[in-house]
Amino acid sequence: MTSPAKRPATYADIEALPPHVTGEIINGVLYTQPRPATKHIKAGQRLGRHLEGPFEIDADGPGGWIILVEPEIELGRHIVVPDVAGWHAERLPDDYLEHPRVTVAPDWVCEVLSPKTAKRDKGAKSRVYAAHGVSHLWFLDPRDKTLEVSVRRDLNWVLHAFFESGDTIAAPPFEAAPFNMAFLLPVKRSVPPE
Amino acid sequence: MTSPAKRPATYADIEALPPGVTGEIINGVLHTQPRPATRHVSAAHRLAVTVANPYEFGRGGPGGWIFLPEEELHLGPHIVVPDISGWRAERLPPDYGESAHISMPPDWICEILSPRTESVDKTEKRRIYATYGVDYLWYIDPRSRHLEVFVRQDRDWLLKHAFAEIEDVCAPPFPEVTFPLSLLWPFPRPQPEQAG
Repeated sequence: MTSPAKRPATYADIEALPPHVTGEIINGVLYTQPRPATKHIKAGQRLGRHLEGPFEIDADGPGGWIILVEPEIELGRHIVVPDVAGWHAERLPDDYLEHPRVTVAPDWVCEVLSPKTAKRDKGAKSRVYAAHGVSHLWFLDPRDKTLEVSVRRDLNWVLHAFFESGDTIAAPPFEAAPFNMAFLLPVKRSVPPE
Repeated sequence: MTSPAKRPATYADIEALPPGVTGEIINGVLHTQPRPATRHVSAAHRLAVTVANPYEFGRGGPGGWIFLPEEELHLGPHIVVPDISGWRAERLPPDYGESAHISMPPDWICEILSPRTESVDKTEKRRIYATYGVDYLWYIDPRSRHLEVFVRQDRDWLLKHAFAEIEDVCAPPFPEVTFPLSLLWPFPRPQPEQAG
């Protein structure tokens, strides 16, 4: 899971990974994980798609954001791949789509927790996000069907709100587009509309 | 699980509960839970012993604390029963053992999370703890085998540490003890869930 700590990991270590393996570099250490489970991927996709509409695409939505699912982000010497991230649109260069990875810290991150990654998500990665000025950090737990919303205060994450199944989730910074857990974590195959 | 919100719950509602059912009154609403699961009971007991040996009995530690598992706390109008409460000893009156409940807010609270209680723990109860000046809040999740350490600043809980599985834990307010988190889960892992 981690490279031998003889020398700090570099982007070359990530490039050397096989194609289905995600690599991150946090505090000089390479962390790898295989593709996440189906439920995990679905949750990230659903959340990204839900927010992209009103906050990025729709002419009549509040707009003002750029939403990316599993973007590779370079933050100083760290390389992180959050499950979903969002930027105030003006903070990204116009040609951001041409760059292989984003080099501007997001304003909002959502991590979908899994047993193997939860500790790092809530520990070292959250500290990297705080150090680079991410303002809102969501933790979605697909097993417990809960969402924890934290807000940054200086270099600390403050627990701000907690949602579970059945709640209407209107969580900062996207209170204008509430949703519920069943939308992110569908139990059954969706039945397409007639 | 909660009483119909026709009138605020009172202590009489708690007294009327059958034995084996724990009652809390949070913002005027009665919350009940049955006896917790074995892994919950075990984690609470093992953590209490781990911190009490150095911090209450002075074995390998400075002493100076008093710990009570599942003590009924009366914090203003609320009645809460944290899994483990801890006080710096000088904050409790010498006759604290005589009372049925304690009104002095603890310095530290540890909650063992379960699916049924996690939402109330992480919303109303933690706000009450902050309002009444609890300084340190630990959440232990025996299913994911995690410990999260929160420190209060004003009315907010700041996440300071996250420990997982078998790591060594050294965290406020107990900096003189380091223990392996594996102490809290002496059982083999249950059947692995779908990875991720």
